[in-house]
Amino acid sequence: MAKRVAPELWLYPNINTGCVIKFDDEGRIVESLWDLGGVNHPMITSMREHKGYLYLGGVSNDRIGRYKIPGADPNWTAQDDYWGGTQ
Amino acid sequence: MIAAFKRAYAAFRGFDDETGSAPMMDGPLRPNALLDAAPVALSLADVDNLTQHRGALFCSSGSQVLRLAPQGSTVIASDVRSFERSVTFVAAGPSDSLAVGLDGRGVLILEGPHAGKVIAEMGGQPLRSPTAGLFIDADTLIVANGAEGRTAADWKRDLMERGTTGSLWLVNLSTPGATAKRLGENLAFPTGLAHAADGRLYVSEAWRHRILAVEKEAISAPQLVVSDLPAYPGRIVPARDGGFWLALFAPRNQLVEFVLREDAYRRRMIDTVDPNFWIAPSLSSGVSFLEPIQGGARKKLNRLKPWSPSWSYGLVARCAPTMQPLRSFHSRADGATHGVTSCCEFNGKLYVAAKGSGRIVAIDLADVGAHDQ
Repeated sequence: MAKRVAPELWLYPNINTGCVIKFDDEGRIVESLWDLGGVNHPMITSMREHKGYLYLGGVSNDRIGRYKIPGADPNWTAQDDYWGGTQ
Repeated sequence: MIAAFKRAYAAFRGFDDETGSAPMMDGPLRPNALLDAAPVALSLADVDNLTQHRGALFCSSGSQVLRLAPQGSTVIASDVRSFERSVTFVAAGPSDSLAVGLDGRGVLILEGPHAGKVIAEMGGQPLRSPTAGLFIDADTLIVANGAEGRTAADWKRDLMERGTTGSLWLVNLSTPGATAKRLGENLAFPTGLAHAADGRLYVSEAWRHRILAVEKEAISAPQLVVSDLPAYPGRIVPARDGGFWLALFAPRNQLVEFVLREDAYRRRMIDTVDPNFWIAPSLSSGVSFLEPIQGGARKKLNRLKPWSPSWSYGLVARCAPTMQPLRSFHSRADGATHGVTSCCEFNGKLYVAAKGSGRIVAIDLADVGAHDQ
């Protein structure tokens, strides 16, 4: 296939889907969020939790998604958690 | 013979000859979005063969035949008749004759002088995939059997197994057993039939992407009329102003052509993978996230580009009396009128049944003439 078929026509798994998984310190997956049809967020390549929301980005997308995480601390930021809070 | 050696050598050296490539959609088949631009007349799952009968429009859907009454830009379905098997075709003929094909079962004459007659076998073989029917007169019906020993619903398997067991039959309905005479054999899934102006019969041979002409009375060597179509041809219906409408139900794809040549791989795919996820054409795609995609179909800026490679497509071609395509109506990779299996002119509109997307769209032919190519 790689030799005889043009790259645009190669077979891919369906990567027009978006997915973010949450795992704990032991590597156990505790939650997953999907956009199976790739409607709003296909191929998510980065994400960040910030002040109670999960922000979603895709390197070839034209948008940033914002997902309200149920029960998340509205003041938590990754910056403060890592470097120490300034509050 | 020489072609076989050439193919074997090409396979050994790992290059492709011209027969292994899918043609571009170009010239009269240049893509547009006219099928998606047309208003949706009816949403109906599995909608298939549209036909005009007794001055009304009919369609099949699954195991039903429905009457369609135009109302403004839509149609209202009524008068449902159900059958024990999926309806594979609906053919209307003179003297108000109406025949339906029943998948795995045969042909049932529903109305007309021979109403109630069932044709379950032809030439001693059970008629399992009646894909198309065409009346010559009220007593004579031509029937296409897509593949021997396989139902019409199993068409994808027939394509991927490179089936060439299709046949064509002339059925005399006025004889007690409805005797059948063979008109064609070893066909690669015949799917459409129409009367040519010269008294012959046009047959679409789907897996060889071509239209043939054969004699109506006796078996003859088929003559090539149109070849190298970029999609798999299906039903052919006459157009009011002369010529024909041709429904092409799925697109050809370079990767599928490649897989069709890789026998060991194809065998394993057929044996181990669900047919919905094969590297094969389809009437609809993007239904499940498990379906594989092709590199060019990755979404960019959140959009599936219309020129993306796709397992399904919507295409109707307007053809000259010689079957040469003149212009076409498309629903591209990002469209929603895929898997067009039939069309029918009725009251100045062209009704197009997209089986894959489960909808009938109505193209106003007066509008379309205005922006002719």
